Amino acid sequence: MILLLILYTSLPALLITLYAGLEGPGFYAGLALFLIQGTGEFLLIRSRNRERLVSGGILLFVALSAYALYTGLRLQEFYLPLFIHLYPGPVLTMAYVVIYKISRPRDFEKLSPGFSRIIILLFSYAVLLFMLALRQMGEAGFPGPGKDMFYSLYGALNFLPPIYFLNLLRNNSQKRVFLDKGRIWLRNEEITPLFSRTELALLDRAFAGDGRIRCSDAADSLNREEPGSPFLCRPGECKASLCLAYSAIYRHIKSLDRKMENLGLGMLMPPENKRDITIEGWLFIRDKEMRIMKKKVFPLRIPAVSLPGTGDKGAPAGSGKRFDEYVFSLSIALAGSSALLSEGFALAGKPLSLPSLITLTLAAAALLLLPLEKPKKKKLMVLPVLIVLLPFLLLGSAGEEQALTLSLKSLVLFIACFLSRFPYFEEHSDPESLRERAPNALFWLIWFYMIIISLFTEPAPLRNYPFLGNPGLSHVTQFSDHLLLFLLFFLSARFFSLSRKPLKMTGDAIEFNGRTLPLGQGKTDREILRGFILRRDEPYHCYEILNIVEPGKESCAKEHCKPSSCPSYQKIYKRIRTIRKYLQTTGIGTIVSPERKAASHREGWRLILFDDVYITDPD
Amino acid sequence: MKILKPGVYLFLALLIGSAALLMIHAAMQPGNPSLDMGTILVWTVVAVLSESFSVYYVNGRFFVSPVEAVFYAAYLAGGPLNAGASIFLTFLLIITREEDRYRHLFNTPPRFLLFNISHLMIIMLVLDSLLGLFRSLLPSLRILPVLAMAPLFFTFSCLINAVYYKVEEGSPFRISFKKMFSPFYQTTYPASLAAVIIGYAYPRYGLLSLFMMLTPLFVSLITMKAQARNER
Repeated sequence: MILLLILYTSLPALLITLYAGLEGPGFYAGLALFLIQGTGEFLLIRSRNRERLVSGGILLFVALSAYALYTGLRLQEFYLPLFIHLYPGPVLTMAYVVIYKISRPRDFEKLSPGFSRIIILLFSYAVLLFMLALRQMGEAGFPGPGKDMFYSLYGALNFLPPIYFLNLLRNNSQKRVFLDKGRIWLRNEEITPLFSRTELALLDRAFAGDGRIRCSDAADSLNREEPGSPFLCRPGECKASLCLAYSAIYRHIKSLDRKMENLGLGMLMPPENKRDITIEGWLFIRDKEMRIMKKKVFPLRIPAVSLPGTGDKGAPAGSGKRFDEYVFSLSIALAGSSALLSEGFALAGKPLSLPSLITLTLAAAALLLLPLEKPKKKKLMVLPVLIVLLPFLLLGSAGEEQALTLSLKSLVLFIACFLSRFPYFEEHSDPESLRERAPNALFWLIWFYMIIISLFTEPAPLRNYPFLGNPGLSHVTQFSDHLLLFLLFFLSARFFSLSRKPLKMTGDAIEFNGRTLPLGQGKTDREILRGFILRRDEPYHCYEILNIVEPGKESCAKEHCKPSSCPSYQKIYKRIRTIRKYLQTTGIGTIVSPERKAASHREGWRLILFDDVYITDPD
Repeated sequence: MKILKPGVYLFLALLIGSAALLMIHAAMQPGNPSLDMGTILVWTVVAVLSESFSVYYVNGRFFVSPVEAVFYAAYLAGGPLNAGASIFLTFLLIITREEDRYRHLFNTPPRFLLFNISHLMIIMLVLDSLLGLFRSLLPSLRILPVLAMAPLFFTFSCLINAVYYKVEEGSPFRISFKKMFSPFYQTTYPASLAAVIIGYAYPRYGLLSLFMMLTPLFVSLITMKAQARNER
């Protein structure tokens, strides 16, 4: 699968190489591009570290663009079709694969409408391009000019693989369950450790057939688990109250029911008349949004929780991440404002000289990014409105249509900058509500842009490339339009994939997602929480917690005590409950108790983080 | 048969009379494009599809769809006469689902049919007059006034519907208007702007532009459905 993906995404370079023939500069340029790209992508896909993956992706994109620009200036024949017709689909595919690898499938259905709308947009864009190509072919007379037509058709079909990968990303955020040979996956994450072997067998029964779990099914799996004490079950002949196995079965069923409700998969319903339980069993009522899959979806994922030994230790909380994001936003702002300014002034009949273009581009990029630096200061949001309104100054000289188009492009550029900066100021705002409200607005913006640049811009090959002299300016702006559209597709998908939130201990304080947690409960609770974080996946026992709650008290018998007879147990339990509530409401995770509460002193409590939260190394 | 207040008959008569007079006036204008069966048929099909899949909003007991955007696009593409004919035919052909039953021409009370046809025709012709006024005042601007007018189609439709609810059921005007307008304007406004683009693309791209209209209509409908479900 991975090899196929790499081959597909590097295919344009290979096609051009073949097209250029076996000799000449085009052949070598294409071959070099194919090799650089293939190797780079292979390394990216194999990477298990999220930050390295993102930085590597950006680096590869910049390196390929620089290479293409250099080659393009020398070999226009090689460069032009490659970047206009052949590359958008593969690059988008690779971008979605990277997003797919690092996205957290949490928060569920809220993200799904966003992905669905991008899929609809991409699909309609592919069909639109295809129909425009057919129309062009019809106008030119069949069979039409071969090479251009081939590029157009290939360009349209090229958007199908990104749609497939985006669909996988969407499936990730839906409740999809896959059960296979005693293992279970939910939202593409394996959740087998949550269940005992008996529960998994019961789950298998619940998902299969009529969705009923009968005592006999449970007894079978209990017998397999404990072969020394077989439970004999004769359906229809026994009474639950007289059955030795029934209480064990009932305990497993209740535990499974609780877990399924917590996971949002559904619930197990006993029959109305409880005497029929041995015949009818428990009916599994599945959540209406849950779907059982027959096969596992694309398995290329970075693990949900930062596991020891995987090399995925989370984001270094430093300047590196922000630097990457800043460079990314800055490149969009610079490239976009440069193209827009050149276009605007050329339309007004006053083409810019290179120094003026550079000065104005820098100023425009600053205007675009400034309001996004501190999004809380609403007054600064006036600037993007000004950016959108500025093109109307050209109403007199460039005409109404051009002013409107430039205004839309300015808005798109601003939104692209906003989406690229979003991960940075995520911690200042309410990203979830924004993600929930955004799908509709993004859909309309992309749709308008997509239609306008596809229908109202005359298709023309990119000739006369040295654009600063201006003869081929319209072609350059056409190229920048398509690049911006491509970025919008990519950035929107990135926007709808949840980022991860670091949980970090610095001195006495605990930081979550860049903010110090205001733990109002006091020092003791903070100490207990620190203990949980330090232990990560290890259990935290009550005799350890007792040392914090009542320091110096030696009355805990460790192994041989009973919680019911322990005077300190209630105090510990209340503390745990308060911390659990706090963790759940702040979106960090939860604390799970042992299945049998009587064994809590032996088995201890565990901290389970939500799957978009990870622990960074403590200072 | 339900006995209605005299005010309802008077209101309906006023609407139907105004719509008829305005249509006759539009037909007599020399600049307006004449009837074209192809254009009428095409836009009627799109409008019927859009209205037949309209969302039933239980709280307000009304149907909502982006059909105003389709009629605005029809008006821009074919002029007021073709759009008027399309409005008339659409309401004869639609089949909508209201909770557990279907509504069509033969089981819809005639007053609803007449109200829907006449009030949409009036809005379209009022907008036509406003656009004519703009063009005479600012002849250099062609698209900006059309874009500015686009959201008015849905807004006026909500206003007239609210008046009708007031006349027939005595429901407070402001509450009825809010119920129809607030949950859906975020979808219908951009759909109307999309209609402007499609209206301009139609003469050049023909049926291809209609395909482009399907995506926004589909997304508008699913958004409205989600909105109606949330409001429930």
